[in-house]
Amino acid sequence: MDSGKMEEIIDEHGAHLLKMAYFYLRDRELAKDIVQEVFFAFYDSSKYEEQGKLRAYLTRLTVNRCKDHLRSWSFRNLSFSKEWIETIQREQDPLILNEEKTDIAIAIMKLPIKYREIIIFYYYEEYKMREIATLLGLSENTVKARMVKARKLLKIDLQADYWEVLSIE
Amino acid sequence: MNEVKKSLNTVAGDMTKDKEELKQRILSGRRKTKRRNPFPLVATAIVTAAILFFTFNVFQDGLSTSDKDDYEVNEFIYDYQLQLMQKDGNDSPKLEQDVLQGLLHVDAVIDYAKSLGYSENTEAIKEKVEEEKQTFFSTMDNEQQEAMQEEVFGITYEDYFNKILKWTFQNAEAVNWLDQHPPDDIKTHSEVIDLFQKKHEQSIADFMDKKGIPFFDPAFMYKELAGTVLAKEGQDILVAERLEVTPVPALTVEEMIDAGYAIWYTIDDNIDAIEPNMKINLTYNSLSYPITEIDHATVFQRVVEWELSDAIVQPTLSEEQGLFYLHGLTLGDSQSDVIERFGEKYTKDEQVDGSGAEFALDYNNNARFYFYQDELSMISFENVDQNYFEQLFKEYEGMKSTSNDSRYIYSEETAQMIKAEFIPDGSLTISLFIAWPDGFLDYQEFLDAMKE
Repeated sequence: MDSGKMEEIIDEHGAHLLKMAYFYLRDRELAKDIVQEVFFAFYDSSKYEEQGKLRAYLTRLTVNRCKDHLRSWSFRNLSFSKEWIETIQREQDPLILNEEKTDIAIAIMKLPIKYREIIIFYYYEEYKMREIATLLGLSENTVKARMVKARKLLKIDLQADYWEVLSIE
Repeated sequence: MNEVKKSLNTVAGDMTKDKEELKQRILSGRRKTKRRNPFPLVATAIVTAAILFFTFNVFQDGLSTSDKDDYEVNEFIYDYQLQLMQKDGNDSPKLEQDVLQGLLHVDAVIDYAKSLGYSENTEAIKEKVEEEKQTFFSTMDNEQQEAMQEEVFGITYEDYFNKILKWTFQNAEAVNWLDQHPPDDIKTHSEVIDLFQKKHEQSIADFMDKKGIPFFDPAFMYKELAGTVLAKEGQDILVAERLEVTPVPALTVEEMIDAGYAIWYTIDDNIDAIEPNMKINLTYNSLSYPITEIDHATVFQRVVEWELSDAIVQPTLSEEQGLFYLHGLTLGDSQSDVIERFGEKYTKDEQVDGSGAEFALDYNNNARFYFYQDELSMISFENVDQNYFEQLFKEYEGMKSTSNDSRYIYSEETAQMIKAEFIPDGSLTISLFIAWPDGFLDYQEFLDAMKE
């Protein structure tokens, strides 16, 4: 693959993959490292033509690498629970960071990963349950059960009007 | 765009700059990651483990004479960790104990996994170490490496990767294996560590001796919390780690546990005194949770001490045959009656001049129980909920009287009196005592006022 084509692919999918990695890792720098690895792996293999939709393929690579990282010793033992929220506040322009808007996302980001990823794929990626099941290698029933649990957990954390947003959509 | 997506996009922020940086990195062929220096990560890992304390009471009973032991405490890791924490400004008097505890905790988990059939894939671990090593070295030039090696860590990189990092991977593999192969009879961290230290007590004692590490204080493993009792089943109470949970939220017990909202605690003594909605202070064994992470596993933390904070903030008041009972206790009761109700977390105060008592049991300066000839002679509660007491006073139908900043409740039959005094700082103190004529200055005047 020539570098022009690669640049085009990064332009098209880079920001999206960075966001997905960030939703898993809650760490911007780490997300960059992971997506970089994904692009290198992709660059080296160049098998994307066989993989169907490129965006879905790259997303799957990113998700798998994020999960590998989450399983690693170093990550397991670091407590991000408060730090990452502080990072959001620090990194974002406070004028843009409207507290009302971020409440839902912060509640989602606080979920354990197995529930968080279902919510992300359903609401953010707008996948269907069946598609999520295929992408994550789970049964459809497991995905549905996790979705129910994820919503229950969010209900505890969110005020009624925010919770309604999740119920309606 | 849906609201959830909008919210997530807001939190993620604009990724344009990050994407451009990424593009430069990739197109220039730089396989450089901004990976953090792994040293602090490992340090964090070990410190985390070190926070989880465990009991070492076996050493207090003397050393065993077990046969030859093939286990040796890893001196290299111990020294390294100790040095790191010292450089980090940690000057805790029990630092050496903490470091050793953390190290043994990790070794105990690996040993436990092996006892259940786990066998270490040394090749895989070696490969992972190699991979980390290559990534790490590719991010630094020689100059940086030398500077860090000399100034910061005091160990070689080879030693770091081959000893420290390898050990952390060994632990991670064992923990993963335990997660995937949970035994039927799940042990707690406390149990696993106890087993391990008993198995290797001679080696560990030798190491402590060599390093001059004092015996462990069993109190190290305890944690405290103030919370609200949400439910009670047998010897177990479900406690939410917060005090403002009233009324109990409309969630099932399972939902509360699943949401991490509350945890079960096992109480060995006097559980009858505890009821739902009471506020409680607990001291519990922080390692009495299961070694494997299983969904919906019910964790029972073992409580070693407790006291009802509710009893002090909102003590119950009742009257029987002229005797007033404050949270179930009345004058003339014994020390054991008090301890049964309020737990063992008291200090004994023998400086009780002027009270006519010989000593007092003090619960954190909030409740004091005075004794004369081994009988309760006075009870005093501080920081009582004012609204709560005003309501009690209002509802009381016997002899009572009010002055500017005090309320009195009196029993002519027994001469017991409850005096509530509003302190200028806004708090309320109540006490129960016998209002003998010679011990109460304005007794007659007071009695007349009461009768009016």
